Amino acid sequence: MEGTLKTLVLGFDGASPNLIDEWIDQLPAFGAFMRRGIYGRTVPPIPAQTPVAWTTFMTGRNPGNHGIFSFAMRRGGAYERDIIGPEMLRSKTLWRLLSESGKGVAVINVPMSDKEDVKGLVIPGFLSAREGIPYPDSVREKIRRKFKTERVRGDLDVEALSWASTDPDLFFERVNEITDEMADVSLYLLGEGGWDFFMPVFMGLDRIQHFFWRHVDPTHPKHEESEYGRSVRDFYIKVDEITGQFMKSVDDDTVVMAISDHGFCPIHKEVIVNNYLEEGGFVTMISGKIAVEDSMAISYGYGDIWLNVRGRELKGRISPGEEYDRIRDEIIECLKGITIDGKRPIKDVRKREEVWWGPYVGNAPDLTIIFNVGYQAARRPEIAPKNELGRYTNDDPRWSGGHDGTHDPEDVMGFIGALGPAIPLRDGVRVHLWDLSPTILKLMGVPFPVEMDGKPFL
Amino acid sequence: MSEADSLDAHLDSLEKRSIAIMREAKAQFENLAVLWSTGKDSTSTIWLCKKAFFGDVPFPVIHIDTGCKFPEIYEFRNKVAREWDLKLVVAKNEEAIKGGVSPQTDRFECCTLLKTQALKDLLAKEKYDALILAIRRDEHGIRAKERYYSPRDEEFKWNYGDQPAEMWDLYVKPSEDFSHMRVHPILHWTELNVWQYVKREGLPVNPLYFAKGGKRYRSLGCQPCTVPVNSNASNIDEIVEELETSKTPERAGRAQDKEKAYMMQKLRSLGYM
Repeated sequence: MEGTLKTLVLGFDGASPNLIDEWIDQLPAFGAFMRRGIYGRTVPPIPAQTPVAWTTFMTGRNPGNHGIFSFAMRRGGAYERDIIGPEMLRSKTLWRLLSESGKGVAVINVPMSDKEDVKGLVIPGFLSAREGIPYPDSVREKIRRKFKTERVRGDLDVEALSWASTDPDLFFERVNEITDEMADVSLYLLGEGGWDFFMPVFMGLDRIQHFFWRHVDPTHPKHEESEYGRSVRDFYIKVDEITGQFMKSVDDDTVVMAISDHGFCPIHKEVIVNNYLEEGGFVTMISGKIAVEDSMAISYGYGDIWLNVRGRELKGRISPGEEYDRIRDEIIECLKGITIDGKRPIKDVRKREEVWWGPYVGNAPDLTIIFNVGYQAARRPEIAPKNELGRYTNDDPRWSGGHDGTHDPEDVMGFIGALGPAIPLRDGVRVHLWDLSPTILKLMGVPFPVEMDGKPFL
Repeated sequence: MSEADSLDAHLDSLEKRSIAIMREAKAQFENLAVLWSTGKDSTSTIWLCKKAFFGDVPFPVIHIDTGCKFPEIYEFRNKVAREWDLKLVVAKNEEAIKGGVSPQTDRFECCTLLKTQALKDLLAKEKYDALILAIRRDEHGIRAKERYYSPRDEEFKWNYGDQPAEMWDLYVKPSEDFSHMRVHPILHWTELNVWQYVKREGLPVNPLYFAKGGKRYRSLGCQPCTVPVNSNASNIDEIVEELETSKTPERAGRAQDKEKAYMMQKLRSLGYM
């Protein structure tokens, strides 16, 4: 049967398994995964960031092997960062591999996807300059005639995101609207046929949970029972209904999978890492600003720490080898010693070679802070005076929920459900995101490259 | 029809539509102005203005000066403004420049303050109700939904999901309140069309576009943020030939591109930055 199977993968960015478990009685489609197939957790890479996680999924590789480590990556040898995009991808995508084997593909709104020469269609997702524009032209024309648009809205725009704090009702209205639109377009394209692999990704849960997590998490210090908590639950119900619609729309020879790239944990404090690095003597200040070129190390906003190395950075201060290793150990000791209200915000600090492997590890940060649940790095590389509580924290962060503090993947696991032919009944599954592409390729009878880090879990 | 005649006819058709859009804008708006970066697109657009209005450009020509343009841009600007008798208005955010804003500190903030804010300040002072801009649909995906007439609010934001209808050749001024209208007369042109037009009309060209030492600038931004692309095209004919075979995007050398600027803004709105 393997080799003739079709696969439908529904991506729900940020879908949190603990909330799915809590509301499972109201989620019949997800319940069907539990009763008839696979139900469990996905383990995201470090960091559990949307572009890193989806790239890990679509390439079957760890970040050291696909080259994407963050939303913004330091330009080699320079101190500046560039926003990443799919043009920086170094490995073949799952759909390229399927397409090369003659399988038809339909890829819709997957973050870090882009226009690609495949047998089928691509509507690029988040972080592509071509986000929302269907390819090839024939598909764009079909969508234009049917839906009167040349660009499919798969995500909130800048203005709508601002409504999360200024007009939450309008924010939820817009999230629901674009989700319905995406579902309509995806179901239409599903019905048009011509695919063996079909994958739309819905972004709404991620956008909602960043801003409204505290309304659904009783462990959050600012938790409150509110209509927004009900709005979050209602959105999970919508997601489940969409899943049900897709399930009804495919044949018996189709494996149906629902996955998320990561889950969520509460966030109630941001740690201004560079302040602590400055106190430790690693960051140099000139005229009240961080002097990156004169510093030994700097953090940019995700708990990533970059050393200033001679021969690597333009004006490196640290010699490679022994001094580099010593400074890393000193930074680790400095950061792991931080306490806030008697608690340690930092779970661990890992060296790059302890986290990633592959040809692109040289592009990774030298150290990565793993934060405990409740904490994350301040998003900008700032220096601020101690707050009124005498510490370098932001105690009222914009987010009440997060996943890329950087956090331990075990604390922000995603969700997987699957059913259909060749899918056994198996609860409590734990699968790394990099295992999913090899699994899908195996199910569809396509060999997977040995360079993939993942292995089929079925 | 020969290939040359066919090209001529095509350029004539592009030109005719652009002139109609500009004349429509002049008729509908009381205080029109045109933006000019001195690049090939906006220089061609200024030339189209002269054609539309019988040799004159009867409204101000705005150059946004960030203070860090290539010297060749300033030379070209001053020379052409003089020769074409343009009513040149320079928009410059002196306060931000004196305050040390630069791409070295924060590229996104630099663009926001030195370009967007400079223009906002000028609009607030001069009360322009419409601006002609030389953008093209083929430049990048975010412009796929642009219209010939595109309203902007006070924050220069654009709701692409709710745009005025553009039916056939009817360009309608919307009734809702908006800060100013953006008019895009060369939206339907391609990069190749622009160069073909420049050649046909004998328009002045900034020398930065021509290759030196195996590199040239395909798009002109601010000097710290624009890098040249590999090319040996040292005149317009060679540029046209290169474009007919090139797969490199036009804005390959622009470090701070519109998409990246928008993405930075979005990541900040999301809370990732």
